[in-house]
Amino acid sequence: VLGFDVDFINTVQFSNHTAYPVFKGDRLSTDQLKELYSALAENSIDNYSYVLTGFCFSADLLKEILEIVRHQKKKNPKLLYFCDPVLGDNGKFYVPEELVPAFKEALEVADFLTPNQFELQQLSGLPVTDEPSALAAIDTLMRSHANLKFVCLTSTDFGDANGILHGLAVARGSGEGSVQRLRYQMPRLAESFVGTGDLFTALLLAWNHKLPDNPKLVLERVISTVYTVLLATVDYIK
Amino acid sequence: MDARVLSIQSHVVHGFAGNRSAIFPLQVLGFDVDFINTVQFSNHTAYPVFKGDRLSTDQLKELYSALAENSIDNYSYVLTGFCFSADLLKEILEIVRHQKKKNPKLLYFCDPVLGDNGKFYVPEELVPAFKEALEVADFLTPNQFELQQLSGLPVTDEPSALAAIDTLMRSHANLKFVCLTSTDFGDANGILHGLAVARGSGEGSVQRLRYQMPRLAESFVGTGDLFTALLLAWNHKLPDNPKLVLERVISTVYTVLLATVDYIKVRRNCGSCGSGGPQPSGCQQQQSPWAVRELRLVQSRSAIERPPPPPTSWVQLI
Repeated sequence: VLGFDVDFINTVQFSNHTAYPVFKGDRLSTDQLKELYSALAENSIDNYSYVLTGFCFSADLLKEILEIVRHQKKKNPKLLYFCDPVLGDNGKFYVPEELVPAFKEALEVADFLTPNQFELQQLSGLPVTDEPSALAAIDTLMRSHANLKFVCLTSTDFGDANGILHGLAVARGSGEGSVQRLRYQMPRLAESFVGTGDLFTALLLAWNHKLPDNPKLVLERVISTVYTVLLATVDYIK
Repeated sequence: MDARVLSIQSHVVHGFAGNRSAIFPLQVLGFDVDFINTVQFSNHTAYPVFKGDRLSTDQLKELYSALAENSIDNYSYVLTGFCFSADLLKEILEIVRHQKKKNPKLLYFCDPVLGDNGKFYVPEELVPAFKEALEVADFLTPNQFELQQLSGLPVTDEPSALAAIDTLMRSHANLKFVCLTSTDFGDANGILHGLAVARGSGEGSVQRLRYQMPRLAESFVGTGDLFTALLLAWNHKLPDNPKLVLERVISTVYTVLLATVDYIKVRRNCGSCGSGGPQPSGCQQQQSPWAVRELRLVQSRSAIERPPPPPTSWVQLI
């Protein structure tokens, strides 16, 4: 809808997401992923400006994905890798814990990172309990990974008491060592939803492409879109 | 809009064919589309290389039964196109029958993909399988070769084509709309000539329509899939108005093709690539003949949403 040509490899085909009572379907093997990607390369149709990933069901899958990212970056050094390091939420894992070291490896090649509070803790090894500790954890990641250009802490419990969804972002500026730090807050809706994180990261990619070097405007577009979609969903539920 | 579509077609990672041609236009036009990918290939099969895997009949059964178990199998439409085997199509028809029991108003849009220009590009076992599909299809979009195969009659000009369509519709009361999507009737004049017969509400009444649009020099993949998806969309929005529906569909397809032809020209004249020398490192697109011809669907999203009115001569009641 925002005008991007998107090639997509489906890592699984399930009937529906896994929170439903029943889900059925199959996963892609690492070999199948390799094979699909190599055919794109053989046909010279593997020309991308962005790679986008989210939930990975195994460390092997993520490692194969990182091979693809490295190959892409060799072809196109300007390529940006948008990585949503999906590990869990609200203090709990919903993937195998082997994904933690695998996503730490992803930090070596990621440009944009969109962890939630639990994931930021896991990846930084630091507690994330309020804004100062969150910013410290993000700074730690960005200081040890010069490739990381933008880290967005997508959701936290900092504003829960006030019904606010409180997030943070740190964007590396063009000047040496300069960063912009941003906070966003939007009303937290009563329902819980699946898929919003995936939507968020995709929108971040889109709006950052359209409005480079303007993290405030980018976040405004992203947050506004997510909120509007959620409102429409809540309305439909009613 | 509450119209929900179940589309069961191929997925290609790169390019536009099968579900990749059908889903985006339907979504742009406001439809909620659930889709089952019957294959996941790197790209369509006309490229030098294609890799990927197919869904087994059991996997298809399993996915569909999970939808049913979760009570999320509520559709107004089923849409299908290319099927790689008769077994797959038969399983799909089981799904259609199940859907029609649940919702007797469901419409099944069936593109009976068998081949083109006198040649099969699927196993011939699909012929009897698609004849079985005729028992449950509501909308059918064969090309000239496919209409011949399904009717068993020659299709060489407009009268023989209308006779073949009438034969199918007389023996299958469920068939509400048959669109002969492409023929060679107008080739000598650079015209793409198609026909449609729509059953009217009155007993035995039909409307017959002819459409003609300029035939573009290039050949494309995925246009048939796009056509059938658009037919579904516009028929939903403009029921009982086949002329308007065809105008919207033809106009959209033509606009997408024009955008694609333009893009081909741009890529071929690109100063960096056209010289035949080595690709500069900044070049985002290689000159692969099939890559450059992929439909410019995303770029045409405004036209998909609001197709420009075509010249009045393009669609006529006959």
